[in-house]
Order: sequence, then C-alpha cells, then structure tokens
Amino acid sequence: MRDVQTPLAPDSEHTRPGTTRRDFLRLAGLGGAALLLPSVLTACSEDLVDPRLPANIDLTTDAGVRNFAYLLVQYQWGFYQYVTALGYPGMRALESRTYSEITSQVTSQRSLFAAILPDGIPSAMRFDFDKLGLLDRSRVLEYAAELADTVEAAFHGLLLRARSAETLTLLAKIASVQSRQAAALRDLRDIAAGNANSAQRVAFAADDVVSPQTGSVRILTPADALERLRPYIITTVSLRGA
Amino acid sequence: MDSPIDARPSILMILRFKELTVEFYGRGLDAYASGAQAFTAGEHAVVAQIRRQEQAQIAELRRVLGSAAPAAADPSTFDFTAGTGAPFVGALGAEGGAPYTGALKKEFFKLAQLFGDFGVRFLKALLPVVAAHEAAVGMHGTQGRHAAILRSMRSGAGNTPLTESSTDYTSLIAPWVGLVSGRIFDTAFTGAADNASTQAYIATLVYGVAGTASAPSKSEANQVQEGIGSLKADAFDEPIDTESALAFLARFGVSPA
Repeated sequence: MRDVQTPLAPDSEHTRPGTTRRDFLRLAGLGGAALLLPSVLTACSEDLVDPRLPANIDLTTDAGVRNFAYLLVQYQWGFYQYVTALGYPGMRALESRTYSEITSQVTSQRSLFAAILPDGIPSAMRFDFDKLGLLDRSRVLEYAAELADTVEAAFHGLLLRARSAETLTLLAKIASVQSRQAAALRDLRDIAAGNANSAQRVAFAADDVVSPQTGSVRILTPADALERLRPYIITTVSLRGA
Repeated sequence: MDSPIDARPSILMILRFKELTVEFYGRGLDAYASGAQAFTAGEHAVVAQIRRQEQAQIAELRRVLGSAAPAAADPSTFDFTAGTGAPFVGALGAEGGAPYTGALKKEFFKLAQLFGDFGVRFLKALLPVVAAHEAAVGMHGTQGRHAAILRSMRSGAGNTPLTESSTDYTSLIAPWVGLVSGRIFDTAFTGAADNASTQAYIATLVYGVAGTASAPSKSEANQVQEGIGSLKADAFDEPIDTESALAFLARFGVSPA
C-alpha cells in the first residue's frame, strides 16, 4: 500500500522523537514544497504520523463546515501528489500542465485552511490511492474528473450549510474554482476522446453533473461526498450533524 | 444562513443577467447558422450547451420568483457594444453587419469570457442573499464551468481551440482567473484601460482596475486570503463589488429594475 500523507502544518506535527517533518524532507532532498513521492512515503510515513488521529467533524457549526472543506482539499492535494509523482504512459503536455496548475491551486487552498483552522481536523490526513488503480491515462483522467465533480458538488452542498456570510463567502471563493477545474478536466477527457472539434464536446457541463431542468450543478451532502471518498481515506473520519 | 432576507431582488438581477447572456449566445449561434460566424463543431457544441443550460436557469429563476417574475426583457434593449458603439460589435457577426473575418470569433469569445467570469463573481457576491435557494447555489457552480470552458475556447495559440496536440494554455486565458506577468486579463482586450470606450475598460469592470499587480483590483482584493503566505490568485474566485457589477451590466443595457 502506498500511503499518501498530506504534510503536517508547523503547529501540528506528530512525529517520533527527534524527527520533524522538516528533517524528513531535508533528508529526502525534497524541500518543503516539493512533491512527496509515494515510494518515499511508503518508507517513512508510518514514522511521521500517528494514524490513530481521527477527524471528528461537527457539521452543525461553521467551524465544522470549514473543516469538511479542509478535508476535501487535503484529499485533492494528496491525489495530485500521487498522480504527478507516478505519472502515466502517454501523458500529454496539456494534461501535465493542467495537473500542475490544479495542484498549485489546491496547495494554496490547503494552506489557507491550515492557517485559519489551527484547531481543526488533522492537517496530515492519510490516503491510499493505490486502490484506485490509476495505471493508465484514461483511468487517471476519469478519476480526476470524477473527483473534481464530487468536490465541486460537496463544496456547493457546504454553501447550503454555512451559517455566516463569512464562511459562505470563503467557501464560495473555492467552490467556483472547483467548478472550473471540473470543467477543464472533463474537457481534457473530451479532447482525449477526439471530440475537440465535434458536436460531442459537451462533457464540461454534461447532464450528469448539471441538471437540464434547473441548469444547476448537482449538489452532494457531506455524508454522500464522504461515502464516495471514504474507501481511499486511511484517517478515521466521523461526521456529526451530517 | 440565519437571518431571513428577501432574495427576490437578487434573483431578479440574476434573471436579467441570464436573459442578456442567452440573447448573446443565441445571436452567436444564429450568426453561425447564417454563415457569418465560423465556429468549429466543438465550439458550436459548447456555446449551444451553455445557452441551453442558461435557458433552464431562466425558467427556474422565474419559477422561484413566481408571481413576482417580470416580463421577459426586450432583447432590443441589450447593447452588445457595451456602450462603446464599436469594439464588440464584430463579436456577433450579422449583428455587426460585417462579413466573417478571422477576428470575428475571437471577439465573440472575448465577450463570452467576460460574461462567464463576471457571472461567477456576480453570483458569488449574491450568494449570501440567495443561499436558501438550492438551485441558485447550484447555478454558481454551473457558471464556473461555463467560464472555464469559454476561457479554454480562447486558450489555444491564435485562439484555436485546445486540441490533443495543444501543449499549454495560452498565458492569461487558462480556465481559471489568475495573475500572469502581473496582469489579470490579456492584451487582446484592446485599448487603454482608463478609456471608457475600450474593451480593456470593460474588462476592468470584471477583473478590476487596470488588472495589474501594481494596481490591485476590487475584484482581487483578497479580503480573506490577505496576509496568508503566497497564495495563488487563481485558487480563489473573488466576488465582485456591487458598484462594479451594476456598472458592467449597465454597459450592456441591463438595469436592476
């Protein structure tokens, strides 16, 4: 099992004595913002993170709503570390560029949550993306788009739960970027399928994600979103008020 | 949201904006049908899909408004020159009275991009008021998808749509809005940003004053992210301020009433 771990925030390191995340990254020659190769994580992550740390999220509060958003972003971050580290045969330049751009955006979003949620869920959630079987181009493109759809739908579900305008606005800033990413990834699938110049180029907002009746993206509850992601989350997650 | 707020004025504004864009996309599709607009089949599919979904949004917004829903806007009141009298006329082919030129499609997608990105920021700004309406919240996501694909339509070199052989998004017009080389929007929006009759000026109403890092815009004020590390602008879509939103809509003949 390749265990992908999101790096620890400076104020929440859970390490064995004498080994900090900074030490680990320095020894691995990666630096603070570098990609964490899954193979490296396989060797070291067991020593770095206490896997017993759960993520308890109370969705009846704005703090809980923000924490669930943080969970979603951590998941995405871990996924893109995994994809960009492993790659796949025949990756096109535009695909590589898109993954890189999205990784950069998710990193910024994750950094924001880490900064504003010092007492939130663990900032080093752990994932196992080996189960996804991302062995080729089409499978990666397929899951990247599926994940983007899920996260977009979940973020818009959180907008319905936010109790304060501040939380709503914060999450909305990210929600539409998730929508942009979803459209871009779905369009990459269309392009890969040879639909760039065909009447079939409608995946960016197809009927399975945008209701033909209302013209609105489909929305997921946190429980439903978590159900889709849970098979690949190692960290124990519990929701209250879902 | 805790406090009940009358969402109808905001929903009405969204409706008016959607009427504007449905008309715009419709004229583009009509120009294509008459041979005046040279969409590829892929571009045509994208524009048609967006228009279908925005028509569905209009129907849903009218359903939400119920008896408070107004009569449909008169399309003849829309001004797709954005009050400038010329720059965007070519975007609409037959509307501009000119035969197709290579620039025509570029103009269409420039304006489409502005509508897409404006819509994201406009709906986001209204979310605190309309958040009780699930469909309105969902429209915010759809708007993000539309904005992304419209930007992608412009992304290829020479405004050729992205294809399997594309190697990158052209700078400044990736599917997301960010700062590239200190700018928020590309130089294809012609003219001086401080001249109210130029495309660049209209773009500033969406992207902010001057759209440069040295002159931070209202739209990229980053009220929440400010001061937290070096966060990328394209990771966050900003709500537009009311003053800029109304100014933008007014240029196209849309008023709150």
